[in-house]
Amino acid sequence: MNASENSSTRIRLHRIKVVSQIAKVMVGIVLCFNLGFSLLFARWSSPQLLTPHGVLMLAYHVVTLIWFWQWFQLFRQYERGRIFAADTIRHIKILGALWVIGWMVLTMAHFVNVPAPAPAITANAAGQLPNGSQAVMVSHHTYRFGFFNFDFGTGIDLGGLLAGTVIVLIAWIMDEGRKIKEEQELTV
Amino acid sequence: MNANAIPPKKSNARLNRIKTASRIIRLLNIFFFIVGATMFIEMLLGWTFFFPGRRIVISDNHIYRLATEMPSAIFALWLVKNILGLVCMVVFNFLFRLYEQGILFSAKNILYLRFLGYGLIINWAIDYQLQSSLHDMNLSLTPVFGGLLIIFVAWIMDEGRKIKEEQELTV
Repeated sequence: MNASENSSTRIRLHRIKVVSQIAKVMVGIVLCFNLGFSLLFARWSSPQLLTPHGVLMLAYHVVTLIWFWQWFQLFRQYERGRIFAADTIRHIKILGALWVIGWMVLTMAHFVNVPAPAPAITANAAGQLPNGSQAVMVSHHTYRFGFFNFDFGTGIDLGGLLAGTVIVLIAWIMDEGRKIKEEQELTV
Repeated sequence: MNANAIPPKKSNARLNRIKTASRIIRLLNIFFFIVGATMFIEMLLGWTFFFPGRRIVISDNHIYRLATEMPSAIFALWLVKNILGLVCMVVFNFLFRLYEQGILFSAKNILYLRFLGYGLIINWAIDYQLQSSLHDMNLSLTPVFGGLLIIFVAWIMDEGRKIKEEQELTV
């Protein structure tokens, strides 16, 4: 009976190892491709890189690379069979935090890139309108709603922020659960 | 020194912290659910009571004033997408209710996590279908990766849970 249970545990662990190995290799390929692509093709001397938008996009790129690196590390932990270890949960926490940071950088880049020129003002200034008429700017709130994809009329997709926060929170709950189990094991 | 008395106290403090945080998240989720459901119903019925002057964004160049202005196929997909969003919010609420009850690694937790992963992928697939049928595509693959990774992590957690259960039986 015990032997069969042990063997099923071993099979499960082996399955986790194999799948994690495949996932790790795939993430590694994506990471190398991204890193190589950015090193080979990025226009480092371009004056556009020195603009606020360029700097923010570069920062986003760096965050993405660290994100993939953290995934690589996480799968390595799973491959070693360390499913609920402190290090594993730390990697999940960092992944969530990076998600939030990436969202912040992208949102800032969006607002830096689009200075929102008012069409009415530019049309008036350019004198394109006939005499006696005046352009009026009308703004509408847009509505986008889906799971982890919504803006509620703000123009910013708040789903990214929520997703990152939830990942950090779930990782924190897992970590607390792990500590509780450890403490209970000590209290025998 | 009663060393054994300290850990349960600590554990209780931890559990209380989890419960409080989960309750806050659940309340926030309920708030977003109410706002989302109200917007959805307003858009569906063409009311402008709570959110006047708003528009439905399907893609960058396809923005509608009312749900009834959409072509029927787009409308049907939009309807499914919104209902899926609301269902996922309900499942999200269930997950955090389990955390609030102090149930952290049960089979149900993993089932809900997995559902949310599938929800993200299906949501993206509907967006893809919507935007491709309008020939106005601007989609990121991030939700698909996010969904796949949630499903993967949920599977690993499930295997870990089963291993622990088996080990507890093998005393």
